[in-house]
Amino acid sequence: MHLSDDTTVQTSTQDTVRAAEFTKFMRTYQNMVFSTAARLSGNDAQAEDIAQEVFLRAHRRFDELRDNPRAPGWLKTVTTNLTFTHLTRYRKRWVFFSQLQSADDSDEDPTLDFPAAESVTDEVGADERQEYVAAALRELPEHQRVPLVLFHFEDMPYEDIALKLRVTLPKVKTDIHRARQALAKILARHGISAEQLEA
Amino acid sequence: MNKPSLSEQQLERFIGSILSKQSLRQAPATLEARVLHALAQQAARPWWLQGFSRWPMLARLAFLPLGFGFVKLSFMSTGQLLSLWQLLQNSAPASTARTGAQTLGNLGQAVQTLGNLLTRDIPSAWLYGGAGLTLLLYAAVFGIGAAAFRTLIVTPEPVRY
Repeated sequence: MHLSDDTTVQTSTQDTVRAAEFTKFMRTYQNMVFSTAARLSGNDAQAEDIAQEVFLRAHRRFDELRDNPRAPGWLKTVTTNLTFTHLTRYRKRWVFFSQLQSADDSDEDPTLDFPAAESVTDEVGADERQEYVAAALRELPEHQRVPLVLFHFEDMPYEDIALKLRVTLPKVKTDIHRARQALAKILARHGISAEQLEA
Repeated sequence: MNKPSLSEQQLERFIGSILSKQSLRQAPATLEARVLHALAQQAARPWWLQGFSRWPMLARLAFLPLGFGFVKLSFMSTGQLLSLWQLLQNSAPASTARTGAQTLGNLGQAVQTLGNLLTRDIPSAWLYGGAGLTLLLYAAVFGIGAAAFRTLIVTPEPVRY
């Protein structure tokens, strides 16, 4: 196989253009991919590894993805699936032990207590609140964080979450409810409550 | 002390409203460089270590007859091995396989004899006690593992701000 000089130059120029376009594509979506992976995994280092793998896969299919309005959806799906693959090795232990834990927690008071108005600290700024919420999400146990993120950030219905995580529907609902309670408790410690938010 | 509580729906609305205000997180500055470096490494690999779709056309075309040839060769080798096996079985004095089977049989008999000796000479209470202790130790190790998992991984120490 012999290529002429003209063809080599043309291929090289095409490669350069393609590389520049891919870099632009990556800059457009890297925050979305990283955020999805970080929220699901609760671990920034893992999320960076996952995001890298997602973009390597995207590069393989870049001809289909560039200028495709479905690219963000494709990236999100691949990110979610890859994060699950990362979590899969723990999934059996996770389902087993989280069910043990759910049984232990069943005598907890289902209602949520908030601190009295006088104990609420000064108003929290938006940036600070972002940080608190992100940190609080990371602190949630995996079996609560994953369904909560799928429900609130990925807009996935309960039934789909149950299918995806291979757990029962009541368990998904219970885990999400407990995750909300835990988040609300942490946020209340920072003076972020439903009343304050409405005000 | 006044402690208002939220219903399930109020809680869902509250958390939903908080989370919907979360903006995307900033990807680490190193991510782009990492991806580009990995792509450069992939591109630098020789073509036969890359995916089939990236192989030169000639190599791809040549691979198909080669692959079929390899499959055919495998089938032929299997056939030859089977013929050889039958030949060995028919020639009684040089039957290596038969000797191997006899050795295995002798080993099995030796283990059985040892087992019989143990069950005859060791009191059954000791045997049952040993089995019970083994089960107890297994349960203890499992319990310690479960407790460690729940303490260290499933429910990490909550951070107090």
